[in-house]
Amino acid sequence: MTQSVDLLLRNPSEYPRAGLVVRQWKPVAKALGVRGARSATVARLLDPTNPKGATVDLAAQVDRLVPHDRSHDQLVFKLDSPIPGGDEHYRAVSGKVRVTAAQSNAQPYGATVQRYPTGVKLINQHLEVWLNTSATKYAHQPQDQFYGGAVTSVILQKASFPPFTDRLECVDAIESRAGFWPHPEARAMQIDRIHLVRPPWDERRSVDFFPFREPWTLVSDSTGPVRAVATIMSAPFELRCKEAGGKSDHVFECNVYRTLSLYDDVDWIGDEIWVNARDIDTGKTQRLWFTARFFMMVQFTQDPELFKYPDHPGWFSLTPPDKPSSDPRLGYAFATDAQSGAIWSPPLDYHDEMTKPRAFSWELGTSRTVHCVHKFRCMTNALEMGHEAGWLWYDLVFKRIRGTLAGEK
Amino acid sequence: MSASITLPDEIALPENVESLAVAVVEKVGVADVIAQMADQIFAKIEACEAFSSGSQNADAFFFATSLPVANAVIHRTTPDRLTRALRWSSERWPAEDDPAVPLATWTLIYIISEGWKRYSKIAEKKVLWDRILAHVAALAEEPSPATAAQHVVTAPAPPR
Repeated sequence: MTQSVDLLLRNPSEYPRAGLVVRQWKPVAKALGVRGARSATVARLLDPTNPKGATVDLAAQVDRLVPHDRSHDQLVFKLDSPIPGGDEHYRAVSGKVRVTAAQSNAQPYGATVQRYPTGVKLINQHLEVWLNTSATKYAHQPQDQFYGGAVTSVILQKASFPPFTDRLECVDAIESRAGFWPHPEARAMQIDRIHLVRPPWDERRSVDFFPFREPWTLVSDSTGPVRAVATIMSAPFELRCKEAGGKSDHVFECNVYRTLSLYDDVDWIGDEIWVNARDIDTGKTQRLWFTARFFMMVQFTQDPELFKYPDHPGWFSLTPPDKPSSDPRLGYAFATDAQSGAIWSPPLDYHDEMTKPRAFSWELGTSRTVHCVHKFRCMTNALEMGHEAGWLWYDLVFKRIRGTLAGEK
Repeated sequence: MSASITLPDEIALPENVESLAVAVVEKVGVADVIAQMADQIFAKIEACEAFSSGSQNADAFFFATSLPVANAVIHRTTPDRLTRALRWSSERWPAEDDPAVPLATWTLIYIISEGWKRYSKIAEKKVLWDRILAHVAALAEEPSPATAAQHVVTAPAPPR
């Protein structure tokens, strides 16, 4: 058993950067020789060239996203200070941290998670996010089954609008600004469609699934000094596809998985999505290639402004026009490592005349695991939110700081 | 207007002001919304008055807090109707940068007028609603209520 293992920090920017490092835990645990380790302590070497030199402890934790599947375990830590710039291809080493196995995560600082029968609440110093696992939202409206896996409330904790509210509900900011309840169907960050493509020899081609109509299940939650995370799983759906060269069908039981993360003292929400398929005959599981479609019904007034470069599918922002009647000028920024397609408002299959201007959908590119970042902010404008979206994309998605084992790509 | 203002014995909005407020609310199509949510809306207007009374610039504070209420109300109409009303507002008040501001301002005048009609006959509420109406009367004296309101609608800005 190894006492500790070093991770090489790779900063892909030319300038010094601090921030968060997220990586798969399983290879690190293997290198440590501790298969069952549930957490870790991480210390940064002040002089990377001196293995016996002084270190500084970092906030760190290990999260099990899916019970009984260690391949999804994640080690995450927060750098205490900027590390030197490196190169964009992650070849240069900008620092070193030492990882040691631990029994359990340390106490959370500011990000916590609360479980409820119909959803899960993630809270930190800036945000309160309600992730609805139930397909319904209101007990008196059991027929409205379209809230599965949606974020039905995002509250900005520090947006004070006296005399009505000291917190702003982002899913309907104009109503919240005046102290009214938000539109009952308002919601954000919902995966409303999963598109799967069968192999080319299967003439049935592609198929759509709509996971929002069924309840989702909270499969895990975890907290520590760096973040609070919750993983939810959609109701199972069946995918049949033809065997290569054969005539019989392979039958897979599939679930969409989604992990939302709220980090300590940040005002954005991390999002990771994948589709798990279990072969009914063999019991083997695999992650499928899929395309996900996002939906949200959020008030940006009649004339929302979209900031998106046509040839840059990694990020976009939505804001109301920069006018007094847009108060509290809610903005939304989205960034992803899958390519975001056109933003439809209203979506082509949306039929509610009353809420048409509030409805948005966009499809992501095909991927096996999608990483997204969502951010809401009030009293902002298109330029600022565009900048935020672009920065989130660069910092957290496109060129994030990595921690690699020696010899690991 | 501060809480200590001396109000005239008879206070009422000029007829043309009231009729324009009614016309705007009909254009926007929120008369039913206001009627259905009257208790809730009037309570908010009273809260705005309580918040602003006693301050040095009570009118500005009152409108800064109450115009978002009217703004939320006009956003409860149908999208098509709001679009038509915004187009009408642009033609009616071409100098206004934001056509939604006159709609919200005149809707607020309508709301306050309705509230005053309801509460001015109730002894415990009369003084409060006279004070509220006096804010609007001051606004209605401006060449354009919406222009006057636009100066106060964005203040005070909340902290980030």
